[in-house]
Amino acid sequence: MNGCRRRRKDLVLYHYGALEGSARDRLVSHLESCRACRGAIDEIATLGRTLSVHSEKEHPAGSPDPLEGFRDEVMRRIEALPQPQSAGRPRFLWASAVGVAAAALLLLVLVSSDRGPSGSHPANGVLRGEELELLEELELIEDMDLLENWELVELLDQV
Amino acid sequence: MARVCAGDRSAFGILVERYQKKVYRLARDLSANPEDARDLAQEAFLKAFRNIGRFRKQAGFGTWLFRITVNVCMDYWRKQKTHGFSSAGGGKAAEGPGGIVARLPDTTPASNPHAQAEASQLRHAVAGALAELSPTQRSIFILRHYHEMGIREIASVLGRAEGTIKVHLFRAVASLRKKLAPYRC
Repeated sequence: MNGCRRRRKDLVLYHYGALEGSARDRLVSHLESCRACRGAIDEIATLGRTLSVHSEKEHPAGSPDPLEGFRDEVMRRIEALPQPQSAGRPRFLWASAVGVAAAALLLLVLVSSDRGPSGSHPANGVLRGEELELLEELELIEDMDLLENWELVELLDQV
Repeated sequence: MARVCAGDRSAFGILVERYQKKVYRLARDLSANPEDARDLAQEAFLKAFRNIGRFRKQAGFGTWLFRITVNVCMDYWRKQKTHGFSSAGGGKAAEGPGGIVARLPDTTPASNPHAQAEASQLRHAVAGALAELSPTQRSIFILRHYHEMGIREIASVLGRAEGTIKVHLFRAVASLRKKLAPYRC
């Protein structure tokens, strides 16, 4: 049963067609003999049906098309914009350095926090809560899309 | 594409025509608010046009555009959160006309008020469960489940490693399973 617990991630990925190669073969073989995991797969499929929007319509009958005049409106707004730069802007080295430093910090935390009594390793697919929180934080930093904020980039570059 | 990269506005219009439906759908599902989705989709196209010089052709224009759309929607969530809408991307917005809740299958007969109430409860539970996912998990789950993107494509759109996408997808499903356990059909 403990072995089955470790397969929970694989079951989800299998359901979403994201398990490949030998990992998939191993799981398929395991499913043949494990009723609990087959049940878990059924449960994930049930959840999928619960969340399903198969009856989705682009817009309910009788309601206005949300995309009516969309292209024209976008083009009007684009006409009001200055000509975009056709060549790529140089990317600042420091911006990459921020990303590398954040990744290095995360790695350091992950390695140093991996000396618990259980000895489990995140690479096994079992990430602890704190580590995941850190991962989320790192992603938030990444999501800030610093290069979009040109003024901030220039300001920080002067520091 | 060469004309678009050179700043040709009319050529960009062809791309708007081609991608507007997909970008709108993505903005609608990510924001869970059809009323704001049109503005968000427009913002994505404007951002794409302004930054066309940064587009690297090997990524594919669609992938790049979807990435911009996801970023626009993530900014939207943050603004909603800043303005006190703690369940941005879910809750009331999701219940609105055309939101995820409204688009969930309603197969209950009108003559059965009890079943209708149960279905309504389920739709709210789904919206709430989706809203409680982290922005990254929600984006990944919506891209995979509702837009049927593959892991590799999601990784390209979000600029993440495939392994990261898989971990987040697993965690999203685990969270949804837990939260929706009492509503299993």
